[in-house]
Amino acid sequence: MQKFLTGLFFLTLFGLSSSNLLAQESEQLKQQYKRPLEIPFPVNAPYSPQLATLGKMLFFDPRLSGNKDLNCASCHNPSFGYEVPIKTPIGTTKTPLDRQAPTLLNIAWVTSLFWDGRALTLEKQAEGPITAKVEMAGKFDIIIERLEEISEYEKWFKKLFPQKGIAKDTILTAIATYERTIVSEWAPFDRWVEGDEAALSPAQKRGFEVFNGPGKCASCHTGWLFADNQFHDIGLSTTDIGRGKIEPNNVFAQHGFKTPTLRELTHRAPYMHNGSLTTLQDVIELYNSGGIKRISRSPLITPLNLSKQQKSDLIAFLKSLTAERNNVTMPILPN
Amino acid sequence: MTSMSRKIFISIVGSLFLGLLLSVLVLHQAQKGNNTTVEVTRKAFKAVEYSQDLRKNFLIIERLDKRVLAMSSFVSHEEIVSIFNPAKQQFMKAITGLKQNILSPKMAHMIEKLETAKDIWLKDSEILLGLKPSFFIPTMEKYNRSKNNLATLINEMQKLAANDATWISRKAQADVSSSLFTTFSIAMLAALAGSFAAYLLARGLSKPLVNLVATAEQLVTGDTSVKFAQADRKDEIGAVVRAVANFRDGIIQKLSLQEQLAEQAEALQEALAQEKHLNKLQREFVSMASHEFRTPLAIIDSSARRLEKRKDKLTPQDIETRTDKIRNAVSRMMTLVESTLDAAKADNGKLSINPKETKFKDLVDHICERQNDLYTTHNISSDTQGLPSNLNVDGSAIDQVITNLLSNAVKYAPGCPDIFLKGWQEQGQVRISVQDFGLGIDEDDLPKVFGRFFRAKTSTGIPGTGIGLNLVNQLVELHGGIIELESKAGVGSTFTLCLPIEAAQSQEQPLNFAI
Ligand code: HEC
Ligand code: HEC
Repeated sequence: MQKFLTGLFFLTLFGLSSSNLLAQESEQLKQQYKRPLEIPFPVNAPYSPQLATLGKMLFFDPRLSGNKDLNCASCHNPSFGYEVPIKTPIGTTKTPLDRQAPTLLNIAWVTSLFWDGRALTLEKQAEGPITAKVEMAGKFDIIIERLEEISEYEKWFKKLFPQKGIAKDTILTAIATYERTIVSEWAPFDRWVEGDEAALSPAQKRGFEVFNGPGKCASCHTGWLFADNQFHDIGLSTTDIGRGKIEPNNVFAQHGFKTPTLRELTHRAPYMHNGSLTTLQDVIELYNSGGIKRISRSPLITPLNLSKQQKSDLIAFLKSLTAERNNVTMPILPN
Repeated sequence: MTSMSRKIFISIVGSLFLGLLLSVLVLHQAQKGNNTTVEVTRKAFKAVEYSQDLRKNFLIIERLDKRVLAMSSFVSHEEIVSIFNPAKQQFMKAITGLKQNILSPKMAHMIEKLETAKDIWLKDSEILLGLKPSFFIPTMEKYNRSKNNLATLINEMQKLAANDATWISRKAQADVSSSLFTTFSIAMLAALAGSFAAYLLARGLSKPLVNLVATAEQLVTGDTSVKFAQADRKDEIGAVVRAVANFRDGIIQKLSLQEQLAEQAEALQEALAQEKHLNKLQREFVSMASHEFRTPLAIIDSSARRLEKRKDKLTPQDIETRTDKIRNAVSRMMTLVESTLDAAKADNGKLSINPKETKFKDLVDHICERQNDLYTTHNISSDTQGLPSNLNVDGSAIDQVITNLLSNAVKYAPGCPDIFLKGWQEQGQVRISVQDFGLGIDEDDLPKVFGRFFRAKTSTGIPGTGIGLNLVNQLVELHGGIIELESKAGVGSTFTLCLPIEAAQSQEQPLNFAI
């Protein structure tokens, strides 16, 4: 204790050394946000460029839907950070769905899928939207029949899956393989982490401090992904019990939703699982107020009392997670 | 013989002998110098050549990577192997070649760096191309880093090799000249007469040599217009001249290769710019298309809701208006889906027509009538008297073309209800013009109107995907015809469809554009 006090004394005495320590600390902090340079692929679904290309075509192909009217990109639109710019997407029955489509960016690193984590693999997940009546309303036997009529698809499935050819699980494997290649582009924040001091404005750098400090955002939005793959109730006004459906006996799972990534946020409004917040200002105001106080609300969520300056810095920082470029080329669909 | 003349004879013979001896010395010295010059120059040329090979094969692999990573169309494993493997082999050969022709310590150091960078990049490439299985796939950022790092080193290497080559051949020249000079001085001092003979001899030898070195230097700087004298000499000089002449030919070849490379790089640059542009257009297209889907969806939804809400109080007429609205919205969506699928068809070069004898005038009349019924806001006045009753065309394609022109006229002339369609024949062509008095098109936009996904500035706020006119244009071209366009912003547009009366026989036309 005494040592600690003397240390503290010296630290306050020599402002220089203390600021050095701060710089060191912020360097360490930056290290936690370093991007991985490789995409992990599961052992049972290895990557090949042809498989990924096939998956991309299927992702953009409306013939996977019952009425040939929707493809995955209808709700996961690359121009809007693989989401839709409306509260919740509209499926083939023309009614809005219950939840916003989550972004597919960096999905290879996401361990539980859907807002409530009810699917564990992308292969399993992709079956959902294709067959759901309110989404694409497709039937696999019909889809398979349709794809078999298209010689180029037939050829490539045969080549990639000599035994199974066009089948439900090979379709899903292809789509999942493509999805894993969807990675958010390098943003100004990433360049800053790599040492380019000029990449962020002073406001953005201050925002980073708020994010990790008084804002407490980093306790859930962790690492380069800005997500912890966990479920939390953040006090958002909603009737959806989210994770509560999967874990009915867990008090803290009620109104719990998976922490979403914060990358490319500027393209992804409106926010939250129900698209109820239209701007980043709204989001910050919610966190600042602590939201609705209920038993299930995460203990990490409390009113923050951020100053006006801190709020605007935080927003400036969030914007530094959006890359300047976004090159998605459309596949040329076979006929 | 007198003693004098004997003396003179002896002195002449002696000095000649001495001169001869010294000449042999000079010759020996000159040849030694010459051999090293040739050796060094050859090395320099080799280094330059390999550094160019390096770059060429790097570019080949890079282009392949780009194609595969775009995932826009299938590139088979076999094709990848057939491009990648030879390029990699050449690439490795170039590195080995450079290692055997190191010109300076700096270059040796550079090769070391290049080898590490090459290992990283090739590994990334091979994984991404599916040639090396791995469960960890490099992200684009990693790939770009390793690629850019290597590209920089290759560029530097190319520059360094060229610089070193110039410097080395200059130095070799200096060495030869100085060694020749020493020998000459001795010869001068030893025997004037002999040296005179030797001088004559030496001049015969050294001048072409010095010339040659200058020529070589000129070559390294890229000037290939040099001339070679005495290439047919039987002696070593002749051999040297021929060797350097061979190099000159090599250089000329290299230079043309370099030019090709530069052209290739330029073409790549252009393709890149083109691609960037297309990307932007596509992005706009994607957002436009999703907007396009949403608008009719909203109409359908609201109409259906109203029907549901007021189901008890509705008169048959109310029901009809609502269902009409719904059906209109549905047909808009269908059109959009179809046009998107058509566009995909065109992408594959599969757009085709099936011309046969068609009742042409009737067809056009029918289209006008049908569209007139459809539009509540606009009125089409048609004059089709001048049209031939029969023409060899693809009826459904022509229907698509005219319908598209008419619906564009309606769409881009809000509040200007008059549309004129006129048909006539002129100079072996059937012509149909569609004129509106709407927004018109900016002059800068005119040449781009038929481009893919293009939307004119004046079209802001009007839904559309930019596919229609592009498709129309292709269909007309398949008929061997063209579309003429006259337009002025704020005044209106006239699209004129011109079809040859001797109609198109060709059924399919290769379409060469890709996304
Ligand atoms: C009609 C709109 C719609 C379509 C079409 C659609 N999705 Fe989704 N997608 C959603 C919604 C909504 C969710 C969230 C559902 C939930 O969490 O309950 C979702 C969730 C997902 C997720 C989970 C993401 C995460 O972070 O948890 C993935 C992956 C996904 N979709 C992939 C696809 C694929 C692949 C297709 C095409 C086969 C597709 N989607 C088509 C609306 C759609
Ligand atoms: C207790 C964990 C937790 C903390 C702390 C937290 N978040 Fe969140 N965040 C979440 C969860 C969970 C969601 C999704 C909630 C939902 O959709 O209902 C979310 C959603 C968001 C979204 C919307 C993303 C989208 O895709 O719609 C933004 C933006 C956001 N958070 C920013 C922040 C900021 C800024 C802070 C700090 C002020 C913060 N979060 C603190 C867990 C947290």
